[in-house]
Amino acid sequence: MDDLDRSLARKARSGNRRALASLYERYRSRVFGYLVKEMRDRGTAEDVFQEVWMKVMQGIGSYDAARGPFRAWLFRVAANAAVDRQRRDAVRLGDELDAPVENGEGRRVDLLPSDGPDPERLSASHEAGVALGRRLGKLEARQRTAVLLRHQQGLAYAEIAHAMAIPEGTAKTLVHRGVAALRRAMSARERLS
Amino acid sequence: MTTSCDQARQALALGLDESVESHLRECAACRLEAARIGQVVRSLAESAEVAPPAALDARVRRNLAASPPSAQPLPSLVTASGLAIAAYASIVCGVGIWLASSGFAETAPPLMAAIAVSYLAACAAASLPLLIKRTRPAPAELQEVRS
Repeated sequence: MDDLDRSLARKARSGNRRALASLYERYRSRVFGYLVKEMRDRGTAEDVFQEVWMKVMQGIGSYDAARGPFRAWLFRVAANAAVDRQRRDAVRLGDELDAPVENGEGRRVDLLPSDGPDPERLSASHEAGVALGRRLGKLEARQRTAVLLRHQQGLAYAEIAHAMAIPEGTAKTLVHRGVAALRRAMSARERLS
Repeated sequence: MTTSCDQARQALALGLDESVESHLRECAACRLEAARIGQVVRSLAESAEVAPPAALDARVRRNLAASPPSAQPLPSLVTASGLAIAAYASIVCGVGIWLASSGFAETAPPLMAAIAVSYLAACAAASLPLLIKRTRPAPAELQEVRS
């Protein structure tokens, strides 16, 4: 994978559109999958997805294969775009969605599905995924990014370090703490159900 | 060195399961922990690939096809040439001021005029890269993103 990526990235650096299109083909679903979880809002993820590939097109000339594999560079672009967007939005969408809102009739309702069982709508695994997604959104931003890059996208710690511009040891600490928090939340949910 | 339960659980959270396989064979509590962490990790991995909506996919493909990817970063070359010219302008200016203050200008007006013209030309050349960078149009795709 790395060899093909390196070859395609080298061609894209010299202005080859087909090579860039091939890189897009190889990574579009992974980048979008990452952004959907990172942004927790599909519409925002779509905006950021477009920005990411624009930045890739404009910045591929600065990619240096000697400093790390292409996918680490790509997820660095994606993670930075996600952080920029979250800063621009200022208000975390997740917090807004988590808070009950007035429904216009004086009652407060949840916008997200409740954590309680709803066998008619949700299978157990889907329900667990929803609960995990909610907890994921409440992680500290860097923990969430590190956890997603490791356990969703399967990046090595050296790649995560490159993608997040942090030391490898810090990447491990973030993943460890993030997973521990998720695991505690899942266990608490099991005890309640 | 034997692996402690703390070390094993840390390795599991980090996704380095293979390093603690022997410990898991001997420790039922850590096997249970591995199952719980495995549930979290599997749930995350299930969403690793999500196809972008068709309209978005088509738009990005169109954008990528419309403009060639940026080759080697031009701004650094432009900046380097601008700095070199600016340095030259500064030297010429310094020499001119020194000659003027020493009274040499009164005895050699043509030389001073040449220095002044050279200085103005260097200043103009130094500002050229900035003009190039400012007037370079943003790619149509970027404008689309901004809109």
